[in-house]
Amino acid sequence: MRLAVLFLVILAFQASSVDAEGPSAADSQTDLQSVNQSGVQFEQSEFDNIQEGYLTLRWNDVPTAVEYRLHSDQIYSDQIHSDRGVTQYRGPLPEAFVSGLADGTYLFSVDAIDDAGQVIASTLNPATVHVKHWSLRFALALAGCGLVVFLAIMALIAKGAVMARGENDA
Amino acid sequence: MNTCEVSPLLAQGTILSPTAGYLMLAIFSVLWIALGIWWGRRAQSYDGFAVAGRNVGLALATATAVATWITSNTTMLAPQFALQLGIWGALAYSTASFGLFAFAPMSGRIRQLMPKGYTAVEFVRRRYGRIGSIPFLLISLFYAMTWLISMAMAGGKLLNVLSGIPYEVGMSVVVGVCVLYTLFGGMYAVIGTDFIQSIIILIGLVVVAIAVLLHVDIAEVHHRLETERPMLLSVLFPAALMALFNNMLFGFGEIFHSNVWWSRAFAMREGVGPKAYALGGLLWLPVPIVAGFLGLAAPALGIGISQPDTAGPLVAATLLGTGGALLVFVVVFCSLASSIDSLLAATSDLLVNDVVERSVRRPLSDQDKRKLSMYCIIALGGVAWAVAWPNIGTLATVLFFAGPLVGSCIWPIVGGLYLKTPGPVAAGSAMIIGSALGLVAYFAIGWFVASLVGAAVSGIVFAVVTLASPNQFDFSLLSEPSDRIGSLDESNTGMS
Repeated sequence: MRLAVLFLVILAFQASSVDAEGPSAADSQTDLQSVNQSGVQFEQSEFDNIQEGYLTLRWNDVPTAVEYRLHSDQIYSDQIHSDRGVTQYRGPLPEAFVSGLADGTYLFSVDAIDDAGQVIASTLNPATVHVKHWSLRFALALAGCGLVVFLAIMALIAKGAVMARGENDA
Repeated sequence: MNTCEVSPLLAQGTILSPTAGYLMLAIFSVLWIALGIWWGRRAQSYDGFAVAGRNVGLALATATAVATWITSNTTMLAPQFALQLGIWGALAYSTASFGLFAFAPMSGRIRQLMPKGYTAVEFVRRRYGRIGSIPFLLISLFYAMTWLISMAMAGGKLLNVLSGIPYEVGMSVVVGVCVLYTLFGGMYAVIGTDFIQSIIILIGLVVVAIAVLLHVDIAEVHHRLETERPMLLSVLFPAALMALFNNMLFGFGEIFHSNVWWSRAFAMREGVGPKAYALGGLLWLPVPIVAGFLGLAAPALGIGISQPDTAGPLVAATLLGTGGALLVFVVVFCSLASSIDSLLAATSDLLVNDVVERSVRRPLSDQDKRKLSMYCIIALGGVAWAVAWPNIGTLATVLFFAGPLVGSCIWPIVGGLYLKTPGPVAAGSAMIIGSALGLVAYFAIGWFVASLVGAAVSGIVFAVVTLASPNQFDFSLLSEPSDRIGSLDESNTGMS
């Protein structure tokens, strides 16, 4: 009987000790799984017509993340050019400014990193960005127009200054 | 699960501690207010308060031109331009110095034509009557407010990025300090503090530039940009090509029309303006190129940029550590203060002389004007503070919205200063049509063409209407005493 009681006490202690550390570890595992399952999601995941080659990408905040990394891959003829080829952003904020993109289609994905340097969540659906710059002919025409306006203003100021000097001398 | 090393730059959050930030803020706030009161002792008359007695010499005049034009936009937007538009972006920003070069001969002409003048709107009203002055006044007020608000926002953002001081606190302190010392000293305080601020800014920028060049491998920056952000190095970057002359014309429009620059032209001793503005342009020219390089270096240094207008200070302060961050903090605070005080003083002149005095329809006494100026400075500061509080939009979007409006003022100002033939209809229609089509371009294409379209359309309209109905303006009317303005306005509108 004593042995049976002792066995039950040991069993109960083991059970309680499992309870004592088990639930929190299990909870955190569950939390991580839920973060990973929900993943990181972009506020806007489709950018159709970026004509200046720059944009801002935003995503949801991951509570335990201390850093986010934004990677980009360029697609050539329906093939992803490289696996997580370029890290476009490393920073603590869930927002990245990306610039200097040439014409093409890009896939952006984000990893959320914790203070131990581990990836705790990633994007499930990448953001797709289509970049098509303004026509060069159009840009050069406007730049030429700007040059003409600039030269005309300078000519008027120069002529005016000379005339004013002449009036003063007279 | 992947593991990787966390960037050390990111773990530390802000670069200065909030305590250091508050300490610096307190020291410089007390310094500017004390200097404002000190210099303001000379501002006994309204002429002293508004145009510093019209006797500012070359050193102070050059310093105030440089300090006013090195705004937070220079330290924040130039790196943003470079980060958005690459090499062309940095060069495009530096073309704003051409505005100072072009304004140099104009400032001499302004001083000569209006020896007792106070504001740019006063010139337009006398030159073109109400048809020209109403759109010009609206554009001037809109631009002054957007500039003021963008400065206030920049103050809050920068102090937050550098030291973690909450945006609302930093923005409120910057605006409050500038309001206080401008209130006490008027243009004397503005030009006096500008002198010290310009010296601090230039020394600070030289130190930052040398230190950054020592820390950064330019070949590495080039390589990273070439592989990761190729368009930033491209000579044929379409948006950047469009932005090149757009920014230059925006700078022309800002300087030619803004009372910030006209009030300085009135304040400078005769013959000083042309030299001071040309020297100021020369000193300013390299600043955006240095600041722009910080933006280009960010990707190569692995510094993540979330908001492009904070790239420059963030890169400089991150590279140079605590000492660098303190330096950037001081430079930024000086550049903000030197622009906000100028705007407060110049815009209050405009409100007193061109809005209040016109609405009461009688000349105001010096004492009344002085008192009204102080009320206007407080009101302007209050409005800027209230609009900047929600922190909506980037600096560029706030400021560049005014681009087409100021671009459309270039031709009426230049033509009005030098030619007899342009009349009120030419000036008014050029400003209205230029602004309207410039705004259409702003929304249909982008901010990087709005000023260009505004200036080009305004120029065409101005030329066509002037050729179709030429006037013969008598420039001597511009130097008439101010108490005859009322009668001048009416006769001027229909002048031919």
